[in-house]
Amino acid sequence: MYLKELSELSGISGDEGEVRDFIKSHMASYADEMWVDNVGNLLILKKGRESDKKVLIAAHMDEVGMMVVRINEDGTLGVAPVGGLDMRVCLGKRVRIGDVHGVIGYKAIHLQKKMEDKFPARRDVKVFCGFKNKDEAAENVKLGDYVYFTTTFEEKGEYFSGKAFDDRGGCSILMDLLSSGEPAYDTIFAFLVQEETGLRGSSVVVEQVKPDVAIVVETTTAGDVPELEEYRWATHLGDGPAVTFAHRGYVVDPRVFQTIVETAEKAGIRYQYKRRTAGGTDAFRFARSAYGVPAGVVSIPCRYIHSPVSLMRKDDYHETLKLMQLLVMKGEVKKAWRN
Amino acid sequence: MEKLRDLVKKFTEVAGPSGREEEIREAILRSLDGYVDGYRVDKVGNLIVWKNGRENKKILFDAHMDEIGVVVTHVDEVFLRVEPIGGMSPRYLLGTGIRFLVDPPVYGVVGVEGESIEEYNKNLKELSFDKIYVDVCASSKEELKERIKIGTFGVYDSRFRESAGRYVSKAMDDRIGCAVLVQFMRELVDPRYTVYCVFSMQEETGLVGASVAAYDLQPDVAIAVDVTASVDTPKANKRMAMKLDAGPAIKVMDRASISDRGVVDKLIEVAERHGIPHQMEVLILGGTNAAAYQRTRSGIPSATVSIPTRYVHSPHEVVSENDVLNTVKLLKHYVEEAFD
Amino acid sequence: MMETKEILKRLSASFGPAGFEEKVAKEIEQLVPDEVDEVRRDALGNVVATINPDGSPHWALFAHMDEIGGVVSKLEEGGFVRITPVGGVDPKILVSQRVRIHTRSGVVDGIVGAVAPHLLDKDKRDKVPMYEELFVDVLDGVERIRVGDPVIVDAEPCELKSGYVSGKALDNRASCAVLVKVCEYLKERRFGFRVSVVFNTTEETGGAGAKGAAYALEPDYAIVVDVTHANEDTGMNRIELGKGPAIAVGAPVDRTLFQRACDVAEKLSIPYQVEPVPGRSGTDTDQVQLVGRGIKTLLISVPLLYMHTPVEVVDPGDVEMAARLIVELFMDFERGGGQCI
Repeated sequence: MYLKELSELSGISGDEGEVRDFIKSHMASYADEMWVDNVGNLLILKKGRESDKKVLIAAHMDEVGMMVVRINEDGTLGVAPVGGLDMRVCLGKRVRIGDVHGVIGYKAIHLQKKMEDKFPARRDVKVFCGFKNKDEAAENVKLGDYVYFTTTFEEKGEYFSGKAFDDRGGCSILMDLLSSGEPAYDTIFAFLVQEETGLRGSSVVVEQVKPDVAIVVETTTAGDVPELEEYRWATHLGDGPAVTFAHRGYVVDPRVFQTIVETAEKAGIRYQYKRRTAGGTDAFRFARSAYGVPAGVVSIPCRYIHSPVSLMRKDDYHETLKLMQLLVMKGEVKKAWRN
Repeated sequence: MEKLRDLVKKFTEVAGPSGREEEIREAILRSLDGYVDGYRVDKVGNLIVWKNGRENKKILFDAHMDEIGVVVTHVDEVFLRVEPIGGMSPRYLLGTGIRFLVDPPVYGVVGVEGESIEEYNKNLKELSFDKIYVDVCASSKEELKERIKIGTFGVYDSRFRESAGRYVSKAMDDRIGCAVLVQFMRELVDPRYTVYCVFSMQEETGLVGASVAAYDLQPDVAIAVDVTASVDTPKANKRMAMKLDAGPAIKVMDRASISDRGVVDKLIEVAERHGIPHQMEVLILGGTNAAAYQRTRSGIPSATVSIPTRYVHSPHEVVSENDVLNTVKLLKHYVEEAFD
Repeated sequence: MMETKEILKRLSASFGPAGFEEKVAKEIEQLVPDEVDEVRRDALGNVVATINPDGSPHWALFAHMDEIGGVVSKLEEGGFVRITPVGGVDPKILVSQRVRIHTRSGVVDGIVGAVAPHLLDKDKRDKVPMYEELFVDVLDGVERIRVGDPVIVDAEPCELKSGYVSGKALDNRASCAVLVKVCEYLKERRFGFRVSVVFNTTEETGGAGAKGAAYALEPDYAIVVDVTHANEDTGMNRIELGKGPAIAVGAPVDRTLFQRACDVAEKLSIPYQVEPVPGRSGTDTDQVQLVGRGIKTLLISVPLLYMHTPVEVVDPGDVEMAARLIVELFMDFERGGGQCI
């Protein structure tokens, strides 16, 4: 389980180096082949007991965050979201740009004539690091630098909390699988970049590895909170790994979907369906790349993804890992290929 | 050879929403038995058939097998909640039933939420999938769960009708294209160039099948056969010009792509030479698989030949039989003269 | 060798809306031949020029040659036609413009009409017309027009004070001019690398021109040249006309290439500006980076005023500085052993 270390590393889309280096150094001894491609994906081949088919398992390394896009005259920084980060979750938070610490403040409630009921426009959000003016700021920070939340990982009772669970949770599962022995078939473990900025890193993987089937391991939204009626939840914490039948731009191949569901049922693993079809994953890309790879999606349910503090249940993580072990290590995925 | 009308009826009445095209793929394959030199189903489920040509070039025609539909996402007591598959709009579901892909079949009626008259009317005006539910007449939650579950797909509950040279049914988009290609393959004898017909999957969810179908085929040209709007109805969109009975529409542009100029000019030339009625098409919304073929590898010159259709994406799409026959004629002559 | 501002004016005046680039392609083929080893047209209509075909590493430059425009989408009674935009055309700027419709039998002129304010209902007078309300009044020759014929605004390029050039289609003909200048500058240098210079189609409609060309070429590095908004309040770092090319930084761009480009500019005192790209760049860079197995990309932009109007403005000096920066970047790699990253 590598979620603690992974979640605390810096890896906003376009800046995944630290996460990639951590995974490389921890997984090198398990890899039969390992390389970093032209856009920064880390691809690891592990030979299996059989070599006539190839399986692709993927998780993305990048998290959502912000980028410095302007240095103001007064020394504050203008920022823009990278990936689907809603600026509403950024008010009153501590941030870090490299070694420089900063805060995203807001006007005190006493000074708001009438309580302002609108969130500030993106361009009015400022990061204050203590610089006196533009020149001092420009000596310490550059346009294009990335702005990170400073959330630390915590374990309390049945729960984990921390930042970037989407998708360090998936990366941790991949690392657990990689280090657990020999898979049934030759398997590529793909640690992807730039998923949050448009499912981008995954676009160049199939051309390199030519798999027969793919499974994406994601961390997905729950929505099981008091403000949302039950029939609008996507997933529910505690109900186990979520299996997707359809999402934006892709209906999961029926054989792949059936295989995942039947594997869970036969083994008595608690599982649920992902019950909303909004949002997308890298499966979208695998199905559209090169000659077309049928793809499935298995996700760990999680509250408050794309915010500074996410919440996940330990048992959901472990049940997801169990399901993936059966599919990949034991080889149940073989029921999924078409030809 | 069965009549065109029966082929269209057979294809449009099959339930085959994006991602669940097994049944329509089987129906198409059966109808081509004896008329092709070979076929295969690729990894994602596209059906590819071919007839070998005398000379050394390859032409690809595409029609997508999938139709828009819905999928069950929640069980809400004795009712179901659904979400769209492809560009299904909730407005057409009111007053139309849904046929779910289970055995034995389950039919549902769609209702709208509204705890007050104002709220009900507001929901009707701004209709969304969050505000509708499906009633399958279940007596209890348990009884419901025995008949149907989350993840089940559904399509419009509608049937084929014919009247005065017009065909009416759900899923003309793009079963009419599939029927055109099957009829075309049945009539095509000893073609000059090798012809591939791709019956592609998941076009409605975003041109998925067509993005990969040509990767190994590498044709010299790709033409999608799909539907386009027909604006010959009262106060229809002012900016477009397509209508029924003016022949197949040669597409210049839509929101997803601009047709290759060379292919368009050749299609016009062939139509004019053989006196085939045709019209030019500029569609201000939508897209076809031609956009996906254009982006395959180093690019394939692509275009679309469209069948004008009234009420696209409704349960009752209307096409003209003559337009369909003329489309087959155009494709047959094009195959002979494509690279002159 | 043509002066930069003459190249700009000639390219601006050329006809080439997305999907109909034949005429501008021919114009460009005439502008480059002396400087390159070969020029050809690929299956998608891109113009591809090659310098030093056996060289290494392989750099590919991309500038889209298509412009925004329109197509005739319906013929009306009485000598009028309706049009539909090709690319992002603001209908507001079409009102009272002269346009040219290219038919099979020659060019037909028209005027984009608008109902005179005196004749409009009060509530419509201040409203912006949408495409449904616009029409083209064809003076003579409406019988030659068919649905699908391309249309552009009739705009002559001109020179303004400070040496600036204004005209239609400087998005992206200004970048095409950058590529032409790169070919000129390379003629005076000795090197071992290969350069493919691609003038691609259909960027304005999100088409596959750059993607297809990149797939066929499989270069080691790609530089996309496009234009960017100058002197505007975008909420980001303000890019200004006349202060040199903008170099983009962010996920769609290779970080090391970006750094190297900035270092080269600093070393040689070439003025440049930094353009942060937190998400998509909105240029062909987004596609080219993800072609095949992935390509390391760089995006360099020419600052431009009033994008997507017939009166766009660029500084020929920025065009020349962009070309210089690209050539010096090539040479810097060459000196560093020809390999990098």
